[in-house]
Amino acid sequence: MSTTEDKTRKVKLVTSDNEEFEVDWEVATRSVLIKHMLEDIGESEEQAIPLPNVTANVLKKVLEWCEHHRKDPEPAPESSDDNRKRTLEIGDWDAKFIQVDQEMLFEIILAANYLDIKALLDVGCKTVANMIKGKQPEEIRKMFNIVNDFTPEEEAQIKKENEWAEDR
Amino acid sequence: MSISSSASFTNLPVEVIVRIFFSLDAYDLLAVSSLNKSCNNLFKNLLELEYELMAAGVTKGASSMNKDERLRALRCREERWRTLDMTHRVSVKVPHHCSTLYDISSGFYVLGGVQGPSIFDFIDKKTKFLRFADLSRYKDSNKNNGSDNEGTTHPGGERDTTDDWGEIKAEENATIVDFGLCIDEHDLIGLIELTRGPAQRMALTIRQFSTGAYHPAARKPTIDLGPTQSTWGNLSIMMEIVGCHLLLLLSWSSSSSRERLLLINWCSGEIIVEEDSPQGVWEGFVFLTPQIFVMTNMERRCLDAMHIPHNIASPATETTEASQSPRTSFARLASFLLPVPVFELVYDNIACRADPNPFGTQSDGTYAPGTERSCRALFSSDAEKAIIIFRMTLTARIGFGRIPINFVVHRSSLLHRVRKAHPWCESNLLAPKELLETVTIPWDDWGPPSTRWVFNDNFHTPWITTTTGQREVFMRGDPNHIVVRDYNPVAVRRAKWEMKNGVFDDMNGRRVLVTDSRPLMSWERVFTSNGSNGLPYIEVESKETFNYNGVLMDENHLLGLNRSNIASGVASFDIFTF
Repeated sequence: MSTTEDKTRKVKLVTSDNEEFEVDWEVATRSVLIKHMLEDIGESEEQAIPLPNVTANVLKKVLEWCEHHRKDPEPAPESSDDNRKRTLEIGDWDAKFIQVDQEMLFEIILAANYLDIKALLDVGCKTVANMIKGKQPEEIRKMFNIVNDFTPEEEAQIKKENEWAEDR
Repeated sequence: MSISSSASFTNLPVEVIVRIFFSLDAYDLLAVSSLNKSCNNLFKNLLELEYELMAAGVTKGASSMNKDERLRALRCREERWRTLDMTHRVSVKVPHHCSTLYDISSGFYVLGGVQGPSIFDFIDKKTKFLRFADLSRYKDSNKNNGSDNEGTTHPGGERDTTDDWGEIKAEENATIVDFGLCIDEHDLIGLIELTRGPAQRMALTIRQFSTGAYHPAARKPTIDLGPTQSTWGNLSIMMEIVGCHLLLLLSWSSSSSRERLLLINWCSGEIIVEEDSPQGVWEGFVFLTPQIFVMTNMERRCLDAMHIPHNIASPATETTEASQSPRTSFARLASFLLPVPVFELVYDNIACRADPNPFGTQSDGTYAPGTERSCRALFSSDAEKAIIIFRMTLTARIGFGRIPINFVVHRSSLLHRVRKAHPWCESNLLAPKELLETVTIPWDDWGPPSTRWVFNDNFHTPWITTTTGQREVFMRGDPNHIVVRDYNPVAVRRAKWEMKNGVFDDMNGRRVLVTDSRPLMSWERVFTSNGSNGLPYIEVESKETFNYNGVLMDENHLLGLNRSNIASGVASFDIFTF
């Protein structure tokens, strides 16, 4: 496909709550899912792409991210775990962008996962990891509303195994 | 479980939760494993190996094994190191007369060899070839190195055939004066050779370690380094190779000479930076990351963190012959000041070592994968978590007094400071000029909490390859016990908790945890600065005693060295596999 055309091409997206967004091809194709769908339907520009798993308020937020990162280089294919650099650092703009309430944070993560936007998924996951960092299990449960469903015996066993690590 | 249909942690897909957990450290992984049943199952099925690798400070290895086998092999290895299980031993005779050149890295023990029956060759100790033993091959006569842990003693046959040794020869009419290894990342050895003749010239050749032939990725396998003159005194060399960069320090003993520090792209053969300094300023360096190295500075009594900018890393391949001339200086990011000695003493020399080296980074920011062999090999330590040992001597201004001193610091402690001072330094951007200012970090700020010191001759062997990952080995007493110190903070935290709860395994007094930060007894007689040293460690001493002249270590082995009586070279050694 020719790149000069792509720059001006617009893409229509329809959310689960039936809102329509018109965005630049370059912005929409930050999503690998959308990119593949566009390749499948070819050049018929009129056809809107349905996104049944994303609501309008979330898509708006996701598109804001895509807009800002429209010029980023293509992400490299996922490297094997062994060679990954372990870092929880997030760029300044992304850090500000992801300052949202918990529900929106998880919505963004779900959307990024569904739309296959690796870099945004990473921002979300790192944000959650940063929230977990340095906390005790009880604090994490409380923060994320996680129910402790261990039997007392199981819990005692796990505590025995892990207690040393809590002693910071 | 959460009842609401809105997004929450518990309704994230498993692959996303795994992705989140994968970026946590060892302690946080344990915390999330005890949140609820599903997280616990996730941990047991997917993250346990990851956790144990992290806790052991190990990154990769054993790619040919499945998860359970890797976990078993890792636990077995860690247990042998923890208890200093020295039962897996093989004795090896060195099949040649050794020169003083040697290294141990990536499971290979490399020893320089002198040639010819001539007594002069012998006295000169001119290295004509290098021979290397593949240490992993010597376990074959034992049980395989993996899972079974019967604890039986394997006397092992003494092996002395040259067939077991690989060989790399010097060019005709040349002698090898030093070499640098980069086996795991590139199957590479850099040789510095000196051609005989009235004008001695130094040349660097880039060879493939496994074959000895010129390295296929090196476009200019021989690089001329210019002359050396006898009036400059003894030449000493240090070389490290990370990614496409080869860093080389050439120094001479005469005060009329100047030291040369060269950054060479070994793929293109180009010299990227060449900086010089008066004699006696630089002694040794260690890579912290592919982009940052630490250089000792004797004149200013500090460790300089120096920077290799990204954008000069790979000069455009198209630019032909007359490419731009090398830069003449490295950017200094930070200076870590060393403690100030009392008036009567001066810093005399300082050597350093950390193992393994980091791998170079690729264009997408991930570390290079390394050779196929290194992926298959058993575990290798996380370079960034590794310790650096600094070994130095202070001498009296008047008279002959000398004090041997050794200290240890984690690469990550220094890196943390450098990154804080220069957050841009690992990005692809070139720093604005005003940000290039060197940040001076006083000793009191960085040293006391993160270093551990010893004033002791036991640490001052002629061999500095006594560390891998976060462990360090030395000998104590006569006949000697082998002692291994582990500075891994995860192991230390666990031991602290065990201590507090009365369940610490001291192995009949062989194993101790040291957490105090009191200055050494004689600190005040040597230094005027704050002498508290707070880096904790676990020490374990061998049950057995030995009569070695020295001890070395790499990832999975300890080597006990025996010199022959006639020559001072290594005549035989014992390999202990862990």
